Amino acid sequence: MDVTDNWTTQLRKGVLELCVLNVVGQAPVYGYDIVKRLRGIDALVIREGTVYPILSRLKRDGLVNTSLQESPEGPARKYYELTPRGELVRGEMNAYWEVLKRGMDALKKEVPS
Amino acid sequence: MMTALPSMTQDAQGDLERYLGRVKSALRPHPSVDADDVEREIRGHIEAELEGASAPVTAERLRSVLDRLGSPGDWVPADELPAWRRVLLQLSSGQEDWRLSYLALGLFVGCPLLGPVAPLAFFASILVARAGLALLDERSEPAGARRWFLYPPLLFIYVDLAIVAVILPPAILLALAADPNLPAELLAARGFVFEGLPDPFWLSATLLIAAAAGTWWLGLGLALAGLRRAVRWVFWPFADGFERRHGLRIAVVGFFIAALSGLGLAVAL
Repeated sequence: MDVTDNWTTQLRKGVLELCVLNVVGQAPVYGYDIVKRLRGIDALVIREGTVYPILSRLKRDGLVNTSLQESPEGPARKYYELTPRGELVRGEMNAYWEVLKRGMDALKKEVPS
Repeated sequence: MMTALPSMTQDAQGDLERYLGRVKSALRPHPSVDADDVEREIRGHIEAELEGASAPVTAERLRSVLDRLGSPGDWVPADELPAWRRVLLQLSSGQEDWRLSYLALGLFVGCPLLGPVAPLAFFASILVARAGLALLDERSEPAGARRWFLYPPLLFIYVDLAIVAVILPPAILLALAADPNLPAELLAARGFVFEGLPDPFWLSATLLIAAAAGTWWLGLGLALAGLRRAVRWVFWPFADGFERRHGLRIAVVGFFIAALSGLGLAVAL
């Protein structure tokens, strides 16, 4: 069981960044909304605080931009959106993910000769 | 611009301020992260999480939000953590990791075999044990059975420190009084302290030692009451509940012992 736990922990860490990029890539979105969207994916089991440092790093790396926007529900919110470079990286990561997934699916279906 | 948080109980407000303070101090050495920005993000998150919660928000309710947010140290970008923390995190990665616990106990148990580097190994075992507990604390993970590996080096040094602080000065006086066959320099000290005491010597020396011990505990208690944060830090995690009143209790006990034995000594003289 320990082996599976460690493996899933590492896998989650690896895909979390791509998940964040995919959420931000759909439309400008504020931090808490990203957390809520990711919380909906059971298998991710994220600790919410891990999302914000990722956003901070993506901003530092020039993959997302932020802007403060007034909210009808209260004080201004910080919105995130992808930069052109962020779009490019997101595309590359998703493409890699698809290749990996296809390869793994093929391995599962392979009949031993 | 900061967000408007719902009203909170005093305890909850204190918890929030402490959490934000710890985040800021964790981020201080990392100028690449805007601490005000992070604070805004945290407050925004808490506000959204507590939307619709009955006011005032209790400390327990807030703690559930803060626990899910993670420890203050998590806000430091992983690639900017100091080298020693990266090593510790690697050593202790995973929920069920026992490596720091094994290392702490291994250094502690093995230090007598290490000859001249034994003190260094002992010191390292204390550091590793404290680091292991701090990491568990940061992850809000219970120590569980790991306490059997992490506590021994800490208890060993803490008990020694407590004994030295509480009984060493009166014990020295007791040793001086009890043994008339001391080396010359100690005999001079014995004469200086106990000279002129009335007979029976055992009674007046006992009263003098009790008065000295009481005075020492009075001063120690007052110092501990004033330095309670230092006490909690030195004896962490066993002294988290140490409060001013505990120091004052020691001082009061010391005062009464000093007063009564001083009175007895005055009568005897």
